[in-house]
Amino acid sequence: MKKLLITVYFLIFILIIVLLGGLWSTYRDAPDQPIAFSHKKHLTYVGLECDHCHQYAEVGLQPGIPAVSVCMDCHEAVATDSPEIIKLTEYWNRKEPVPWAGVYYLPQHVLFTHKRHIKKGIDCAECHGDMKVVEKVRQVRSLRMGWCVTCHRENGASDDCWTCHK
Amino acid sequence: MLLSPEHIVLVKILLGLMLVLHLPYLALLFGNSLFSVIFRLLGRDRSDSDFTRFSGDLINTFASNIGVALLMGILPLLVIALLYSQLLFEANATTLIPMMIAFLPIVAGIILIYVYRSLVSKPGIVVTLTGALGVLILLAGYILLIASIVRFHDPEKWGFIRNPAHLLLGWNTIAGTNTYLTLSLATAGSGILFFFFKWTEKLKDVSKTYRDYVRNFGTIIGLLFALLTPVFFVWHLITLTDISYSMEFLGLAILFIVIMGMIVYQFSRMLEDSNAKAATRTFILTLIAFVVLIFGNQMAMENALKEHNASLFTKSETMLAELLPEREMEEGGGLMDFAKGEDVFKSVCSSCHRFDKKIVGPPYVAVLDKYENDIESLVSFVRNPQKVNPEYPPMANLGLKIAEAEAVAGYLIKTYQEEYK
Repeated sequence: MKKLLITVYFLIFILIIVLLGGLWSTYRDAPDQPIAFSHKKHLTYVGLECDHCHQYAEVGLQPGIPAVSVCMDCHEAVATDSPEIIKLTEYWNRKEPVPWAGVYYLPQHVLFTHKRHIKKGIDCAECHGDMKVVEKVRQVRSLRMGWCVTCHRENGASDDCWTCHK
Repeated sequence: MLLSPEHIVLVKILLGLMLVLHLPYLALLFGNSLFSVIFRLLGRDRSDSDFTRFSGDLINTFASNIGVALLMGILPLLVIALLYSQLLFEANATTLIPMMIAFLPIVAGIILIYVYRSLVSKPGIVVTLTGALGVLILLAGYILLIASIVRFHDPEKWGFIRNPAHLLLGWNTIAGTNTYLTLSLATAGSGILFFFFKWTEKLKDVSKTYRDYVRNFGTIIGLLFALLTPVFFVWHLITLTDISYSMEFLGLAILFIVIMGMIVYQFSRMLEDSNAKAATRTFILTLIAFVVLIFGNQMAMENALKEHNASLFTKSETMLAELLPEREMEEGGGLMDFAKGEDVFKSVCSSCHRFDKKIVGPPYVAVLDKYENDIESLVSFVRNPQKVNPEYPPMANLGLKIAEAEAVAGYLIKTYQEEYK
């Protein structure tokens, strides 16, 4: 009886951990991308800036995912024999966008604008981590409300509900 | 500071070893000093009571040797702080500061507890107060140390920590710290059983009542806190940030729960029949639980700081790349090595440039004019390119050695002058 009680008690904890594992798997740790694009290579070695590809970050809600044509500006001539660039060129020839897997999602009831945060001088790395060293992108901030509100308070931004929930 | 991947692995192994050495020691010292002070208070009006004797036995067993305190309590703490500083170099990890601060109360607490041990045979409230103060200060330092270690998992919160008190304002830190504290008290309970039954023969000259009392106390305390530990542990997991997780980490968490289950089972059996063999088994199991918990923490930190580790590697690569050309300064064939220059042009530059045609970068005929009498500027540009014309994407840093940059600059200017001007 005692053994059974102890087993049941600890099985409950194991069950909770298994459930946590199931919930965590929906977080998608660094999703696989159709092309193994390296932010590190492009930012650190090529010397591109974030807005070279994410052209709308400073002016809109969304930063924008670059069109294949932006990639082909250089890759029509650069590294054309690399397997990943061959894949890119195939998308280009088929006139198809690259189906990149999204990494950061916000719920629909949250209005977040990249433009306002960049204007305030918040560095991209604050929310996305140091992309200059990243090969495969993953979500590095929880994007939970507590995190948003704490940062708003630290930076003297409004913490009124209406600021983000319009 | 240059941290190669091998160096980082070595630092992590050493850090794990130091934590495994330090934390169980602090757990035993803290838990049993606390019990000693409590029993001294309980037996304060009766000088010959079992309480007073138990209080003295506890502190004399677990704070017996000052050398052990130095080797397992103070020195590892310095090494741990140093190793974390290396791993979190340039990470802006504000939790490092409370960890450094924790050194002072831990050392002060250990000293006071040893003073208390040396005076424990004497009566008086001053001795009791010395012990109580030592335990409280040690507890403050221990909480600060554990909370810092737990907070390393969550870089998202680092920016918001302005003072050590902020460190404790978070469910995850509260749950994580309590996991260590409850496991520490369970370890202290199993330590009582192990040391009294296995290592010492002290209990032979005492009454059966005292022997039973010690046995029951160790068992009940151990059982109670071993039952509580998984509650805080799972609470810690629930509040843990996503980026700290991995499937391996979850596997380790399940292993920890299984070990805690085994510990509880052992304690529950000892309620009926306690013997030296069972005490040894339980004590070893609690130490294994500590090792698994520490290893799990390290794994969570490793998962959370993937980007920071990558940043250390990149910095290391960049520094190596900067150091190498300086060493190669003397080897270079220089501006006149046209064959080498042509090789570099064909293998590197021609991906983006032609002399008379725009590809990715501008045609050379449009830009080389300004470098004709200033070839050093061209060498400097090739080694450290800057964006000049907004119509073109910025040129990549090609990581050319100085001799290669000089050779290709010489080749470009010569070819331009001879064939395209």
